[in-house]
Amino acid sequence: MNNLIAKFRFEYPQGAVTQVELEHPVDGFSVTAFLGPSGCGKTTLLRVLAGLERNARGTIRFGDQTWLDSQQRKSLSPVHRKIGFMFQEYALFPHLTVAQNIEYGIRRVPAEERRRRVTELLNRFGMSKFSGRYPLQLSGGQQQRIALARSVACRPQLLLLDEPLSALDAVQREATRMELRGLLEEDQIPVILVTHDRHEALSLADHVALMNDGEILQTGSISEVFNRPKTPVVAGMVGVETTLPGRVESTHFPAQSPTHHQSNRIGETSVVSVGNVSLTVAKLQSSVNNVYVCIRGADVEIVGPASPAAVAMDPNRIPATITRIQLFESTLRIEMNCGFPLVAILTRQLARSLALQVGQQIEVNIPVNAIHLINR
Amino acid sequence: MDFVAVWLTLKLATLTTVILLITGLPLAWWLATTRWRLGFVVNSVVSLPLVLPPTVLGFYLLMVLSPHAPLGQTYEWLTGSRLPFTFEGILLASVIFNLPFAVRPFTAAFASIDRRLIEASSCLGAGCVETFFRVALPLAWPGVLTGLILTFAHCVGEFGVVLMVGGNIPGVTRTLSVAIYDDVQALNYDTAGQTAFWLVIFAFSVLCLTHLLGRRGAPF
Repeated sequence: MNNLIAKFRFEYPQGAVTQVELEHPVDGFSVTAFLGPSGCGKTTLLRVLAGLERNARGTIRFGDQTWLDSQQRKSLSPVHRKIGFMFQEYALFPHLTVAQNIEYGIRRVPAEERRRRVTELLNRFGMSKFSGRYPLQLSGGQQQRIALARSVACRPQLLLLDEPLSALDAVQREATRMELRGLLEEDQIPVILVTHDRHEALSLADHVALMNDGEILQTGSISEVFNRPKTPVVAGMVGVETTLPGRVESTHFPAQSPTHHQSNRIGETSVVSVGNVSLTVAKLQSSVNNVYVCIRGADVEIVGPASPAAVAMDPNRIPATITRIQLFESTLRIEMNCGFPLVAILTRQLARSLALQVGQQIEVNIPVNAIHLINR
Repeated sequence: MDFVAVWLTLKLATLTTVILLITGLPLAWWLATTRWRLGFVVNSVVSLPLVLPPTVLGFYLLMVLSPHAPLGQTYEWLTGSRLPFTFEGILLASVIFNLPFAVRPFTAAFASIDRRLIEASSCLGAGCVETFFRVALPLAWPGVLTGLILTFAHCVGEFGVVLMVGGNIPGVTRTLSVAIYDDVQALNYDTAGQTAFWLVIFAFSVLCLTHLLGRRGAPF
């Protein structure tokens, strides 16, 4: 079992610091995404891994190879790291044709084999008829494919992608996002990519590391990080719409009312108050008083117009007033006040059937298991 | 016109340009890519002939190359001849004096190449030399060509250093600009005027050529 193990600190002369510790399996295909806002040090991280920034302090080991050991003043040149690096703007050689660009990394391979590899890559990336073109005669999406083909041509031991989709326009980005992972999977090369777009991370990666201000805030599998953020900052970065401070009212709180027959399914619960509203949440594992309550908009259910006669079947069924409705491509974002500001994301279809309007009184349900708590 | 001087001048300019092509390109490539903190010192040394009076440079060269100085002695011991007042002497002087006219455009051309192309090349396993020949030179050639033309033209017009180091020996060190000076001293205004006229035409054509190249310039 080989791993890429890196622990380093890089300081720009202007003072910006990137400090990371990471581990990535390198025996087969797996994708780790570093997700963070621009300027958070993601690209620096990638450049240090590639050896393009030589002044990092720390160590990088790739299996049994040492790429960086600042104490022994050792830093392997990018020439010898045998990596593929795809630059954000692709950095295709403008004076070489598409085929020559792809060939560049395998120029020492015998001609016969080289030709076969180039043909294979051109076919796989659907670029055969462009082999004689120059990069500037290609669209952004086509350039991206050639850049990718060029960086995998020599079957590198690690592929580094810097914002692989950001130079594309929205339409191309959607299309490419769908198929990029499939293209990457073909060569079974481990991938590390950086992106500021969580949708990109979600659709491409198995593991994700969230970065901010030159530091890694949280790492884990996609589902773990996206569903169980450890800090409010991370919660915001992974797209949790509602994150509010709350107080734990009671822990280890058995279902108290016979009408709460659902609590059998939920198991033992606790109660947390946000503002004046009490929310039933899954039982807390540790005793804390102050928490952050995270609720994803997509988990909030709009039950219907408020009706005093409605029997509360769900513990977190609360009245709310719609304050704002925003229209997106396939969803609606409903901002409301239910004692605290809450956001719900609805499909357009559902929103249409509910005929929601600003100012309308409605009733929402927040499923117990949809509430994630962060210690405060 | 003194055709011996024309031939000598062309020989001097051509050899200087060739030598500066061979030595200037690696130096410029290094200057454009180095991260060494003191790179600017080397840059300043290269540019020094731009601001120094030719007589100052000529004076020092004369001192260094004289048979009493270590360098002059070594040269004499190696080749059996001396450098001051010889063609080899003015060639060396001219190479040094024209260094900035070649190296500065070369460096500018290399520096204007997108750094990521160089980095992409190294990530694809190409070392410094290979990257130079496969990426840098093909992309920088318009700048390199401009540098060569400027060097050649400037070398044709070279006067001060040549006179200081080479004197005025017909067929050996008497270049066109020295010939003009000589003619004026001898009150041969017709001959001087003729030579001067052709040098103006030459210089003008060369500048037109470099601007034309500059406009067509970067092919990509």
